[in-house]
Amino acid sequence: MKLLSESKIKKNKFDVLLPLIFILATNFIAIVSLEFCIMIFLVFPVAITSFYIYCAKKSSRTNVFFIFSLLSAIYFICLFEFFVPLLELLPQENFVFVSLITLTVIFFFKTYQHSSLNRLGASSSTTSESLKNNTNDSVSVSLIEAEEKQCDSDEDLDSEDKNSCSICRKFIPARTFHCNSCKSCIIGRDHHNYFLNCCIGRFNHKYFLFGCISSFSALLLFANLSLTSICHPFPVFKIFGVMFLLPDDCTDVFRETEIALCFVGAIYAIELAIALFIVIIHQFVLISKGMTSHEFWIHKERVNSRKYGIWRNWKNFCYI
Amino acid sequence: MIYYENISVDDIYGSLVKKTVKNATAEKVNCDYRELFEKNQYFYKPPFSKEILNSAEISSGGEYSPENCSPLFSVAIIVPYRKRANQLKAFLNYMHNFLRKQSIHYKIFIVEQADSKAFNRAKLFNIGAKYALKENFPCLIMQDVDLMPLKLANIYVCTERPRHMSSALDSFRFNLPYFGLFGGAVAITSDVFIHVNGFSNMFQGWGGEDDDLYARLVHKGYKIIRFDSSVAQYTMLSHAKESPNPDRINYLRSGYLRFDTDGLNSLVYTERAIKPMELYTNISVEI
Repeated sequence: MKLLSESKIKKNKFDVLLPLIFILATNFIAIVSLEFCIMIFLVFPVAITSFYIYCAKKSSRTNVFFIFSLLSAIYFICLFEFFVPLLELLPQENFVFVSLITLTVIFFFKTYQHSSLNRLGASSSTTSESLKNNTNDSVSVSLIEAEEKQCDSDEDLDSEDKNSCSICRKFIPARTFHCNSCKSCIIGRDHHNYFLNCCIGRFNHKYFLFGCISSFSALLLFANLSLTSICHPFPVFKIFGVMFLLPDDCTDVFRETEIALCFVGAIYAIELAIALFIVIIHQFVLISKGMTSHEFWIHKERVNSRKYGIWRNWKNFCYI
Repeated sequence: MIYYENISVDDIYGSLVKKTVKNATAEKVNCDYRELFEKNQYFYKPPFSKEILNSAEISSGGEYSPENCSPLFSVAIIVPYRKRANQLKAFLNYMHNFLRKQSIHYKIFIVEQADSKAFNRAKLFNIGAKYALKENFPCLIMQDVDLMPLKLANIYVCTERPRHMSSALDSFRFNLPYFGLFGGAVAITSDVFIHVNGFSNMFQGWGGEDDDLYARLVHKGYKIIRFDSSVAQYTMLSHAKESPNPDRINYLRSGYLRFDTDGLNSLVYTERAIKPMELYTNISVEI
């Protein structure tokens, strides 16, 4: 018993320390010079992706990625408030950045909160964790079932065969898939997200997408504001009295540590934004097709139900 | 960035001090300036800093007065300088092209520090001002060599109140970092400059002298003004940043003790040469 708790503490420490060291080390090595910066940020995505794939294959419940996303958010806020030359920024710009970060946190928190609703039978096994009361939960599940059954009857599928989970050994609604990390069947499973430490399914899918969009804009805003204040900017266009600037000359950014940190932070933000952009585009395409990522990767098509038009698919997506 | 008191494009013409050096001829029609403010165009284009157009118009010593009308304004532009030949060339080309569009009478003084001591920007301004005052210029504009105005409406003329001209600088994201900033490019009437006893001569190296001038102006009860940010846009040429003078804060704090004793009235320097060049008057001094 004692041994077990000790190993758990060790594991928790490792979960926090690993991303912390990773973020600080990459950023502080990258400030040395441009060559280091380029090298680090070429290695960075490869390292993260391969570790992510490794964890996904093992279906382990690791906190490393969750802590990583949390620490990155804190790192960006600290960098922006303490190192980026705030005198050159408008208070409104600061306000917009902080609001976007807050929105991101709210959306991702909701994603996490609502993830328990996706679990099939979650209401019976983990009552304390579940967000809403049992009745609400089961009502929503039955709603889905009703909808999907309607579809099934339309297509005349032999539902017996397809709608059961061999691992859980029970009948499941259509478009429900088992998640090895959550050890449970997930309604409308999209994917298991290690960065948020929860499964993305029917009931938190839209919060996840909104979170991605707001974090994407927060990162781009951070990159733009910090690069234009530490580099030489030029005006591109003016919209509603706000001048949109882009940097054109970033020489000398590696001369001072603080400026270099801002520059490296901005590159880091751009890299994360690119990754998020790919996710957002992928999600948009799949939602328009009425598919989930799970169906896309495993079955290559929408499973067990009729195909709808783009408009109907988005309506379904939004009104759950 | 904070809100600052400013003059909008339409009010600029009314706020200007209409004074010229006495020898301007009165026979011609007065120049018309209204078009500048109605259009408020961008002037900055790269070729303007590469070549100079109609250089024959500019008389020796870097002086120009419009030929077909009589200007309402005379101004001395004073620029401290040391060892930045490329920037000086770009600056002179650009400024002559820019200023002639504004139909004003102007003369460019380049004050060169010829020794190897720490660069004393403030003292060079004082020296330049002294020569400009000798030639009875009613208005002094003190500018760094690396700044270029972008808008034609940013007229190089003094307003009643001392004016901070470079309030929308691109390297500050076109924002004003703090209210008391009075560096970069400033326009002060000669009377006011003499009244506040010019710059302090004590600030060596980078920083502090502009804040000290601001303190002098406030001490004598002058309030500074700026043009609207759509007019006061400047671009800064890139160059290596100079190391700041570590003593500048101390000088700045004790500055008020020297307002009357340190400045234009205590100017000591060695004059090397005063040469009227093709595009500017070169004042070479040892400080």
